[in-house]
Amino acid sequence: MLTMTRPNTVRETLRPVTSLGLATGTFDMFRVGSGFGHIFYGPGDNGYGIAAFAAMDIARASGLFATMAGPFAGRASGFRRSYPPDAFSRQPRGLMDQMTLDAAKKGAGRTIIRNLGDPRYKGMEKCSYSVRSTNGVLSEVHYVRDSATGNLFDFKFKHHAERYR
Amino acid sequence: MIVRCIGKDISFLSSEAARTRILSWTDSAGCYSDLNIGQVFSVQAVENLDDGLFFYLHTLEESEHPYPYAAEFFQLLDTSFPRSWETSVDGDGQGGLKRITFSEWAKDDVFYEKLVDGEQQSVETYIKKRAR
Repeated sequence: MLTMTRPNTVRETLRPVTSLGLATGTFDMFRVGSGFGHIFYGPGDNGYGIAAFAAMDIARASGLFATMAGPFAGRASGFRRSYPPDAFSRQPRGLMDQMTLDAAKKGAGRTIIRNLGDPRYKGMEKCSYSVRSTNGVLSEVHYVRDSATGNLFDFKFKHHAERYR
Repeated sequence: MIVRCIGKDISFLSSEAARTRILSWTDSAGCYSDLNIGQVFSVQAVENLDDGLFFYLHTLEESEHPYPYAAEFFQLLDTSFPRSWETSVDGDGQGGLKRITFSEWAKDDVFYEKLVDGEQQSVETYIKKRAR
């Protein structure tokens, strides 16, 4: 069974915060409240959608708090990177993105590069999982699979179903 | 070079060896879910992968790169190559075919990886050289 290792989960969680100013997640943190606002003032939705909007708000609030508290809390500074900035977004921007990411984390999709040359992922595979909605919107996630262990990591959105204004 | 999709699932293939080889390039159900039978594509590159030919097709228009598909699922409508394409081979020229495409990609084994990763120069080259 393919699983995602814990260190990668942590890395994935921290990246939007530590890439302050470079990742779209930075500005997303200041959108706290829009998720709850969507619940109260947005169009009707099922329970899963409402929960997702609330969860996104909580995640954004957590990111904002972590960035503000970073210099005082002694944890990895929100302004210091230990790895190169990444042009890709790693956070879902809506329910469709979240579902695409969840499926990718379970190994959905297919291999598009068999033997990566990137020194960080030498010999591993690059996989892609994409979903197109009935109204033509595309959500696509790329990730790396270590064929020796079956571990999946480095999940990145290549296309978001939702675009920020 | 232009191809038409005539299959998207490994059950379409008559050879067990081909099904096994191609399964590792499809989703877990053995399907290319992003293809539709009858669709026509310009081929961006031909590559020898796992001892089989693969076509790189720009199937997602929003994407900045094409995706590899096993050649068995396509019918050739136009077999001519663009004049600017080059061939690369393994080793000192006595090895098998690696790929046929525009020169920047043909010569560079990691061009596609850089393109997928969004490296600016590779993306610009692909946009300029992409077969329409």
